[in-house]
Amino acid sequence: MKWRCALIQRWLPAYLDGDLPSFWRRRLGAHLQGCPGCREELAGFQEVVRRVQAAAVPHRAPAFWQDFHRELHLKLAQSAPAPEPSRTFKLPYYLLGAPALAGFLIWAFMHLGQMSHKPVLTAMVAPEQVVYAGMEDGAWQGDEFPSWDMEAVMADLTHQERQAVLQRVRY
Amino acid sequence: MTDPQLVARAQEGDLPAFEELVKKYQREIYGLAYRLVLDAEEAKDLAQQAFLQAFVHIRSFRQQAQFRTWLFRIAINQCYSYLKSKKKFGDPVDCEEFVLVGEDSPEEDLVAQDRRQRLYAALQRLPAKQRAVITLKLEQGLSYEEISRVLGGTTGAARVNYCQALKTLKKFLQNEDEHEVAVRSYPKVVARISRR
Repeated sequence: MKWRCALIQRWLPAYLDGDLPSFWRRRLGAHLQGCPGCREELAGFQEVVRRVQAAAVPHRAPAFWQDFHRELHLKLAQSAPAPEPSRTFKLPYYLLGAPALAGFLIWAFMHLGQMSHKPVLTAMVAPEQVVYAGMEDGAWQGDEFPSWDMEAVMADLTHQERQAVLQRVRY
Repeated sequence: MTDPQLVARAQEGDLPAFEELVKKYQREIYGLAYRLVLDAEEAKDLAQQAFLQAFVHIRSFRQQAQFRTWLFRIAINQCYSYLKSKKKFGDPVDCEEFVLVGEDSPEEDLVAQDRRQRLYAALQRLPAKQRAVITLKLEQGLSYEEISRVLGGTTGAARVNYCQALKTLKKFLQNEDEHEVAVRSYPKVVARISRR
């Protein structure tokens, strides 16, 4: 089978159904005129449709429908229409995911933003500057030599001491 | 009286109005159920169940769609539930029970019955959704848009299911016909094999 025939045959049920745009319909019609294989395929589909339509559901006798009605009437008489469901606006539960995700993203953006803008002491100044600034401010005495891990040192200070050291380092 | 008027009266609890609707659509709903479950008695029960469900939930029908489409949807859901619970896929087709009143000669009736049986066997091998699409399209004459409203999904999905169903049916029926031709060509060999 040629590749073109394979493509055309995918559209044959829709062609048969008259459900194709006019451009495709003309194109398929032109192909079918010159291709016996595709014509045969189309005839096969037409035969299936004809057989399905011919084999309609068997006709039932009037007695069958009388029984049907009697039984159904008994069932219907025992039941009643359920009350009308409330028409108040209800947000489907699955739509709650979108606001939740948006909230999480906003929180994450703000949190990460704060972290990224947080001044990193070691990026601002050299460690010895902090040590000497602290010694001058009396944050630590000369004999208690602080560690060179400035973040750890700053973490040990009180808030006021930290502010004082930072102030001094900045100016 | 039109469908919307009958539905409005049924929504107020008017049983005769609903029974008018039943009479109007009973053949279509029964036919649809029969095509899906391929069992006359079950189809009758399922059609009744579909009408009962429609009556109970008639007040939730907002007349935005056609009543017929809504009814089809209920019937198809009933049939799907039945097929799912009973696992009826693959059961033998029993269409012998119908007394087919044919106007043709007995021989032609037999041939037609044989062809019908083969078609039902082929239909039974289709997935339930494709069977539903074929029935809604070829027997009830619904458009793809209406089919998508009944079965859920998109119009494109309905079209794809229909095309796939036609292709599968064609393959099954061709295989059956070829098998029959082979059997008719070699009756003695077939008789010998069947004796074994």
